[in-house]
Amino acid sequence: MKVWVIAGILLGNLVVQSALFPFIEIYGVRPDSLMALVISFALVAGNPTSAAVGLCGGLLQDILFGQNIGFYALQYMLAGYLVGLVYGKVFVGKVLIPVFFVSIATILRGLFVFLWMYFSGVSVSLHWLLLRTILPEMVYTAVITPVIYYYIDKLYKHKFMNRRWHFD
Amino acid sequence: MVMVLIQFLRKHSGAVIVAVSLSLLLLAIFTSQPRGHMTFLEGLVGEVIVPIQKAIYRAVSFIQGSIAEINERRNLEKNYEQLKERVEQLEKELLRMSELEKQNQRLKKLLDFAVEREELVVTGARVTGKDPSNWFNVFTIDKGKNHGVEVNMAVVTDRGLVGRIIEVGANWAKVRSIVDAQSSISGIVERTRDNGIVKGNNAFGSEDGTCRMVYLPLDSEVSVGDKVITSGLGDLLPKGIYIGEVIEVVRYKKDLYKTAIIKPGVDFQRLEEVLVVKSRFDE
Repeated sequence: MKVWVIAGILLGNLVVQSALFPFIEIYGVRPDSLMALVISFALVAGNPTSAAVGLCGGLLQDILFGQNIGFYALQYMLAGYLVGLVYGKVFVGKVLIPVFFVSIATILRGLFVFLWMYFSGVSVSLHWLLLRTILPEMVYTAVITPVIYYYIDKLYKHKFMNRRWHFD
Repeated sequence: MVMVLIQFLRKHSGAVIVAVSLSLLLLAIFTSQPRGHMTFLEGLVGEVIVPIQKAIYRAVSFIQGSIAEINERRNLEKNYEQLKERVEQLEKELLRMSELEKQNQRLKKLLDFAVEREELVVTGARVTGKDPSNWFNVFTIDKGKNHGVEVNMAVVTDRGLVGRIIEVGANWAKVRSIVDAQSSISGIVERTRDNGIVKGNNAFGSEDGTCRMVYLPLDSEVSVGDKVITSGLGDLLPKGIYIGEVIEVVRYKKDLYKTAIIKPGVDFQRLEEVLVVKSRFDE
């Protein structure tokens, strides 16, 4: 059950992100709702769920839009895993902690993409990248994070999500 | 069995993560070469998601259009003067438009492109979704191999070149737009006949939807307002598709060539219908 719920959330997210978000972008920047989801899962459920969510969500994005299969999957899986490590170690409020981790993760992801592009020969200015893409994306994503976190948190209060992994 | 697996994953989570990370990295590097064909899995996922995407994309763009329309109507009804002013404005606009259209037709005739294009068009297609990240400008369309779409075909609208097909599934395809940082197309300045390479500017930090035309000769007389079209050299796009207009010419100190900043004719924020055009070698 749990697996199917998560799969459904990821598919729905992908569709919304690719079909709906182009219409709400501000100055060419869209929120990264997958990152918000992954971080929410990391704080609410911890590993291995969050790493798996990152891996699967990233893979879906790779398959549909990317040319490098594994590119997004790697970023989101690492984000899910690393933030999942603090699961149970900190008191997670409703807003501050999720927003904090989402911001950090978005910046790290941006740096990863920068390095990737740098090594694949695309000349990029890190300064402008930070100013025009990474920071705006961070702010926009941080704004939607509390909403997503609230619902994931609520979801996990349901009985069926608290059971162990079942493949039925 | 599953529980044993999960327990194993929990115990050695660090090692597992490192192993998976490395294999993903290798996979990403391995697949970064242009491939053209899709794997079975990619095709399958696309077949499932593209129709849903298409429906939502259409619905949202319809709603957005309607909201804009309603607002406009309300404003007009409220203020008759405004309406009148607007009519005047629109009339002026219309005049300008018809002039532009004439000019456009002239230019097209000049390039012998209007006639040529008729034969080249493979199919019309709808945009179904855009890459959700802020980094790349790849989008999907709802036509694929079954409709005659092939890799490297050009994607155009009536306002010019949109991009190039990079991968094809049975009933969908991925398109890399010309503003993507990884896109490069050989172009020619229509007036001065200077050749250059048109590269996307997005993900360069200047996400303003422009392109750069590089490798223009230093003695080139390219100036603001010049039109840039595809040259048909080297790559597989047909010759003479309108790309955009030069809005700035610069020469960076370290470069031995001029660079022109180009504003594409296509509005990438509002892409709905596109045409897929045959590549040159298929003629």
